Amino acid sequence: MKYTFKVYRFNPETDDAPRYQTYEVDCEEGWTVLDALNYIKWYLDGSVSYRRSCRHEICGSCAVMMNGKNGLLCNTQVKDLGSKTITIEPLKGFPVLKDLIVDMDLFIERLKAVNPFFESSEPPTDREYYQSPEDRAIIDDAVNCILCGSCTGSCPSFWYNPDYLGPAALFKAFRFVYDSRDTAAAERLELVDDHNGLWRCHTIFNCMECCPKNLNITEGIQYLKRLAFMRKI
Amino acid sequence: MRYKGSLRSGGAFGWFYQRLSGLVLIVLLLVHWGIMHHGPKTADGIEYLDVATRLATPFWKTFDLLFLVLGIFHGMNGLLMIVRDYVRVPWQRGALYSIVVLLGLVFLILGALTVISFQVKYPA
Ligand code: SF4
Repeated sequence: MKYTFKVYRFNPETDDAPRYQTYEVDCEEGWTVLDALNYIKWYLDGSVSYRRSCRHEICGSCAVMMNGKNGLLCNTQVKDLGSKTITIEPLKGFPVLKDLIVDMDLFIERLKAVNPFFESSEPPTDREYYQSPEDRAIIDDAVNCILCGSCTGSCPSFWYNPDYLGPAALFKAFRFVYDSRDTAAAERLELVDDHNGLWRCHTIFNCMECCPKNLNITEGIQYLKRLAFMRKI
Repeated sequence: MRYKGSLRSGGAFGWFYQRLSGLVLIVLLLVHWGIMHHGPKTADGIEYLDVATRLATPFWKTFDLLFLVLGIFHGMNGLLMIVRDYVRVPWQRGALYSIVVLLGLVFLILGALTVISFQVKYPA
């Protein structure tokens, strides 16, 4: 079936302004948008730039905006987008390096700000740190995050304030604060309890609507807010 | 320790106040609407005396004061949040903060004066 792909093109080094380039692609049944973009790059126009790696929604590198909604190129089927013309644009809120490739430094920096690693004051034993299945279930969603950036790039609070930690970083904070084995919850809560942290989230829900792993990000952030408030009273 | 990009610690109370006052305001609003539109009235509809005699009682004065205080601070808090979201130049933000707080206080005083000092003026 024939589809029209409107691809965002911009090279900040040579172009004054971004433009859209249109390609007609005859897509086979079951093609993902990544298949279509690969077809464009390999057979129609080798200069189109985008990130991709695993093709199995594991690496999180191919997050872009398709028809106005963020998601992964590799797990979005062309026919599921519901239109004959498909617009592909880079994630909003990040500087564009070229075409669909954005600079993710800011994203990583915000992530690092919440100490995204396991911390325990208990001395290691010769066994693993035990966690019951019930305790693990609380953070199941957050553990499954692949750090694609779709959520942060969909958040209006982030578009306007790049200093905002953003949903992905807050969700990572939730992942460790609610980890029954982690003992650094107080420090982490202190970090996110900030006008550019937790309280910049206005529960817009864009993040969880576009998350390609269907994770309940907003709920995680709300739990953190509750805890941050409770520890003050 | 603050991270790079941190604006200011805190925000938890503002967040909680907004939720709590929002809930109470819904109840107050419904009561206000009910009593204003479906409360006691004369045959010709709602007249000055119907409203004024009610407003002069301690119960309704307290009710309206609560309404006023919660409403003003709810609105002020919301405006401050919007300013914080959209105004990123520090001096502009500071100026707008001050204007919002000042306006809030002026309206609070005006409203409180009206409610507290209100007396019924019986028609001659
Ligand atoms: S929470 Fe979802 S959208 Fe956000 S980075 Fe993780 S996988 Fe991507």
